[in-house]
Amino acid sequence: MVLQRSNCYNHPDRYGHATCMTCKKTVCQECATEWDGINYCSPCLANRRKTSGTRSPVMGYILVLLAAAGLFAIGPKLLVWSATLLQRSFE
Amino acid sequence: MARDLFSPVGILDETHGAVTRTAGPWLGVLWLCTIPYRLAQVYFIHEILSLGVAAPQYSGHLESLALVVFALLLLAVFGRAVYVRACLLALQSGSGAGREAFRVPAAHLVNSIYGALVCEVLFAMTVWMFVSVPVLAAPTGLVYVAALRTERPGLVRPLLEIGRLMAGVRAMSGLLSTFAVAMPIAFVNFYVALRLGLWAASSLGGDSMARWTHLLRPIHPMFEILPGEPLTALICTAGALLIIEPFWLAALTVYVHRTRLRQSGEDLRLRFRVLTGAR
Repeated sequence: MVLQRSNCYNHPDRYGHATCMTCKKTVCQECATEWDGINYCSPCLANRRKTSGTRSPVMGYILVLLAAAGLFAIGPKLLVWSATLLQRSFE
Repeated sequence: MARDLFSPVGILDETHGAVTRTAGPWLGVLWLCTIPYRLAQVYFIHEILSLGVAAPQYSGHLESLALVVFALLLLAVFGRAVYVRACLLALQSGSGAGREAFRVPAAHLVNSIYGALVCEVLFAMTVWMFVSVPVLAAPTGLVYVAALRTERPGLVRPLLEIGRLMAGVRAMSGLLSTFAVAMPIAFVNFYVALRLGLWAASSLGGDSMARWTHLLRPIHPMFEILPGEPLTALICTAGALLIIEPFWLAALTVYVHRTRLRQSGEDLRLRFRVLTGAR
């Protein structure tokens, strides 16, 4: 088996440096950008930034905190019920 | 860099280095935040055992204790999130983490709190079936490292990330079985350390020695590595969990770090650097 050397999608005269994790294109060092440990090409990075910038995380915070508050409210009651049930099984 | 990125042995090897680099002061932060939670759990279980069949009549008292356990869980979640971040920073930089480990992103913290509460409620619902402890051991630890893979708070994404990480069956089963073996060893070591402390303190004498001797008595005179008193057994379990936890969290952080390396192709770059001897 012969390993084929890939060249950059945008600059065919340059050797490939990384693979974009979204579109799977091979890109050179100049075209690749590492974000949170993952390589992206410029258009995919721009798309990613655009989508992450338009959605406000406030709703997510409210939802998650409400869910956490609900779990916090029912958790102690469930724990007592379950522990009592377990204790009875030992008796 | 190991050829097999997800070999449990390779992960445990790197875990040792990660714990060594983050031990001071982040292990202290983790223990300071986790010890109150573990002691509250011990007290809650001890109260249930002490009340016996009368436990349902004291449901108000037990619920207030359970509420304290849940409140202290939030503190423990913060400590664990900081420790996991310190481990990740140490892995990325190759040296110890600075004060930036305290700056846990809000989304990570909120997702960690939510995930930890989901696991705690699932545990509370299923503890009477006995199977919940081994089944929930992995997701309970993965909550904090899965939060690192999220960018914004969400109800489904943190749980999906836990599922994705658990799909690495080889690494997860290897780590789980290693820590399952480590747990009883840590338990026995903790109990023997308490007995050694009692033996050393016995030279001082005093009235309280009889009580401590009774509390730390073994289950049988011929079998001195297991405690006979339920409260001591609970404290030894809590102690063993405190000893194991930093290594467990660090191992899971290494696992997530390696997953990131695989996704970014950085593992191949590092392997190439090792092969060519480049600096």
